[in-house]
Amino acid sequence: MANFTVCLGHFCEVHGPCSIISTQISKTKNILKTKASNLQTCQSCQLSLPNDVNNIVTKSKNEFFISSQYPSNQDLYRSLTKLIMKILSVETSDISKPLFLGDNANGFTLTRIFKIKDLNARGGERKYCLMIVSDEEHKIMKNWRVSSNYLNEIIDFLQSKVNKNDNSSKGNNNDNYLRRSLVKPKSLIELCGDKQIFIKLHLSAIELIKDIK
Amino acid sequence: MIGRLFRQNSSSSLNLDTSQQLPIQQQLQQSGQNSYEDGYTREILYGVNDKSILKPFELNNKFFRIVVSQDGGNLRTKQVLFDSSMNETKSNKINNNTKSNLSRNILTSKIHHNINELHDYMFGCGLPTIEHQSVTKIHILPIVNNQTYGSYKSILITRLFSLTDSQDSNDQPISDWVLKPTLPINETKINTNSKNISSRFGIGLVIPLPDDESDIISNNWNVICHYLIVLQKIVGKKLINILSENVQEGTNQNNYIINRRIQFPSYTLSGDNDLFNQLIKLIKLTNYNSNIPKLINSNSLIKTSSQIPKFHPILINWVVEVLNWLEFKELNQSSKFLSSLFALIIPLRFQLSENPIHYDYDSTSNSKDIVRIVIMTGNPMVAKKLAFIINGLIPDSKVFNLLSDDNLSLDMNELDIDTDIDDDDDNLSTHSRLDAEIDLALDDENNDAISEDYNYKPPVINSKPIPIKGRSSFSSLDNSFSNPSFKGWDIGKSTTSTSINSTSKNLPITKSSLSKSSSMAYLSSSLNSSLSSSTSNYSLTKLGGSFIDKWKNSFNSSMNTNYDNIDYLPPNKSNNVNRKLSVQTLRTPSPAIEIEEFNLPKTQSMVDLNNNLKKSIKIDDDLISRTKNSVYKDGTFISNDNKIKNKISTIMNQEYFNIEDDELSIDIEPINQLPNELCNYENLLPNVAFTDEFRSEFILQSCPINPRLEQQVINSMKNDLLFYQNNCKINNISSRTIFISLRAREIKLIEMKSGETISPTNIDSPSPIQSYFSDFKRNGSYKTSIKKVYTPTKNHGDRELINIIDKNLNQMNDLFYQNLKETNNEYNNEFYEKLSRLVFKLIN
Ligand SMILES: [Zn+2]
Repeated sequence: MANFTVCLGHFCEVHGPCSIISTQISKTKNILKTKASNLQTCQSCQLSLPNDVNNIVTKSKNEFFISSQYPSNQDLYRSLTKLIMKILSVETSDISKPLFLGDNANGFTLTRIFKIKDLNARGGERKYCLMIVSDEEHKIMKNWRVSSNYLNEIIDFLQSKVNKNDNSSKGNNNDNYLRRSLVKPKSLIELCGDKQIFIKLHLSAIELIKDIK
Repeated sequence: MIGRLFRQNSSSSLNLDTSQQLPIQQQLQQSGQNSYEDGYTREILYGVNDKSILKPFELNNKFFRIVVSQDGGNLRTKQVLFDSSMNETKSNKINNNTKSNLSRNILTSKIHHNINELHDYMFGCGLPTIEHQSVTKIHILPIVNNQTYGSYKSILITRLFSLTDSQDSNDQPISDWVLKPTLPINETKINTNSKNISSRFGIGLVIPLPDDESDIISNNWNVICHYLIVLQKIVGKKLINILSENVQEGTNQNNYIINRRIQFPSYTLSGDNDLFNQLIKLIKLTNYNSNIPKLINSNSLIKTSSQIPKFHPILINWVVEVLNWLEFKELNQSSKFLSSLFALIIPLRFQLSENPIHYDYDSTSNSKDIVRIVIMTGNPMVAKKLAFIINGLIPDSKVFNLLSDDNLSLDMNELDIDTDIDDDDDNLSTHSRLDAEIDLALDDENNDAISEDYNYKPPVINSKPIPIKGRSSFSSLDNSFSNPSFKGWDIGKSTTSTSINSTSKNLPITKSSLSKSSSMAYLSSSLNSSLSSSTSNYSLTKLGGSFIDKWKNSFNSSMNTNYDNIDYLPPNKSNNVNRKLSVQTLRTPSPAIEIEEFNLPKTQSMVDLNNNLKKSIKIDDDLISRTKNSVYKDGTFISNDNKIKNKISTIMNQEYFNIEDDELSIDIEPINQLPNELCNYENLLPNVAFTDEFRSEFILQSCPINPRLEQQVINSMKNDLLFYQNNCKINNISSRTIFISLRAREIKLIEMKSGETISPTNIDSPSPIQSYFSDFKRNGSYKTSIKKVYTPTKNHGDRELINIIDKNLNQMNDLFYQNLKETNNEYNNEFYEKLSRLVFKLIN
């Protein structure tokens, strides 16, 4: 069986390219026990869950869908980190379109880079990527249409939530200038104005994995 | 003309009487479509009546482009080594000094993307990487607006690779995260005296495809990967050659190695003819794979025809076409062409269901077995029928699982019970075919049991597949050719030898006289046959779309001369006996009646059968839907798009989630009210009805008559061996082609093998493309053999199997005639069940 991982990557202004949430399917409830101790995070790049837990788990039939900041599998962790680094700090791409990246050392991914408006970010926007990753290239290719549809729908919703939640346009130019100067990390929860946004991303990722596996 | 006539022929059998009364001329005027486009053809070949299946995809060749560039090592310094969009003459190539001063043709520069823009996509904009592994990328490019040619969308496929002398780290992790590229590649290494030389190169392919047609790329990804690997090897080899030519005499210094980095001058490869040929290959690859629809897997469709969820007429239609072939195409009652063909194909059916371009990571054997079927004919109508018949024999477990009802899902082994074929022999042989009372040779007990619950849908069919001896029978076939004593003809047990005699005596042809004018089929087919004698009638232009001619014409004639064998050197002249034969047959038709011509219909009954058949069987368009390359069950890809939208919308707008939490995790229940699951889909096997030239990526195909066809097939078989040996580290590779020449009424089996078990007595032919594989290791020679399995005068097939099949076909025929007589040809369940059982013996 192919391994599929759905991952939201982010280019954190403080910590560089990193994963915020990644969702895997597993036969066992193989959850992340502790947060990686060497992992520096801030509001922008951390997975904030209720009660400060590390994992979201959904049991479906005999399988577990587990979301955490990073996958518990070390090889997958390494691959994912490299892929996110490439996608967010090396690749050039039309950000309205999906991008396929097949790396014979790190894995295969269909991804879309997207930006979210935030006056508290440098340049007024934050850069993310939503990816579906597999160790089998042909599985990614076979499901191109379904996967890219999912990526587009999820990103559209995130962006429209942020736009609805965006109050910055109400202020005057001076106000904007002041805010812009105040660069600070912000979570997607705050940007979207939705405390359950990571739970929704988790559930969306489950549907994507179910539909292509 | 053929097309029109045929359309009339088939629609007359579909829609019956009205058209039959019309004079030919009138019918010709009324039907404007060709044979490839009529509804019945679409149904039997593609499983649907959807016309869009055949709609060709307009691709402008001018927009295709290949770029080869090197990463200069500094941020954003890349040098172009080759760019097919450059308008360069041979004189530039001779004078190396002018290369860097090439000016871009003003017109071409406007119709292509800026090269720096492409470099940003290919190499990215970050710091130079130190990685060595191959990287593949697909970008959807911005639209180019051009005043002359209009605007177009395109995609960029990038392959990054390194030329390095450092060794692979080979640190494939030991976990369940195991990387599996579509096809593995054996990276090209260089040998230098200095150490740690490394340079990164990029190959960019620009393909003009709108991004909403991602289907074309994703469904044919294996073909594109294969192409990319070959191109990467060619480019790597060329660069290494240039490098080795530039060692300073008397030193170990190389002019092109600077600071442990390879630095070729810009446009080092420009004007390279091999690379321009690769561009033509890319254009052709894209055209053939995006425009020729793949056949529906009719084998799966037949097996599930009673389940999905309504009755699908394909089983009946398959039988009708088989019986028509027996009646109209066989030379005489004992020629057994079709039975012989079946006997060759059936033992190889599982190998035939494997894509020729496929690497199986789960396979434990160090072997690869490739089998293709090529039909050479000048008559597209006959090609179509035979392709449909053969396609019915080729299983596809993925499509079968997709189509079969989950609850009813037939384990194929479950069918393997009851009705021993040998028991039927006596029944058959004791009855005369002219006698109306034909024993159908089905066990009565069994029939009763089945007919009980038969009201709603046909039950699971119990039948015993024809006892195929598998690979062992194949090797006995081998013996029959290499050994004049014909071991393979050894019939063995006495029961079967009886059946041989009896079947040949009792062929199921009723010799009633035919009133010619009453038969539409006869009129059109006889006209048809006179028309088909002109071989030029066969072209994809007439069959599907006009795209092939359009893009062919856009090349200049000098390029055209390279079309057929771009990968290869000229054919080996020492081994051309068979080729000469083909040329001869082409010019002087053999005295035997050509199989491509329709024989006189021997009976009227077949026509009646056809008419009555199709009256009661109509395809339901909702059963399946498909694109050119894939099949969807219970919906379409568009309905999938909508379901995804609904799912995400439901999740994102959900207010409340049922959450339980412990110290480490929160548990979320799945959402119950989500829209239905997506409809499932599968890629279809690369089986096609028609192609105007041989394509190695197809398993089953029919090609127009061409004296070079056989050599093209042989060349691509050599290519198979080289590819899998070099990139997949597979030692035992076998490539086989069943080559059917309808005009010569000949079936050949071409075999090529590599591996340790090669005997030196056979024909040795080193592959012409060997030179492109710099790291090619000669693991032994290639054994090539060409055997005539069937000719009008000799039959070297597995006689035992042929007779079993022949008998089964006769039983199918009998059943039809009996049904015609007894029920005025209504399809009752009993008939359908009996017929299914006979069909399953052949196709299971
Ligand atoms: Zn951070």
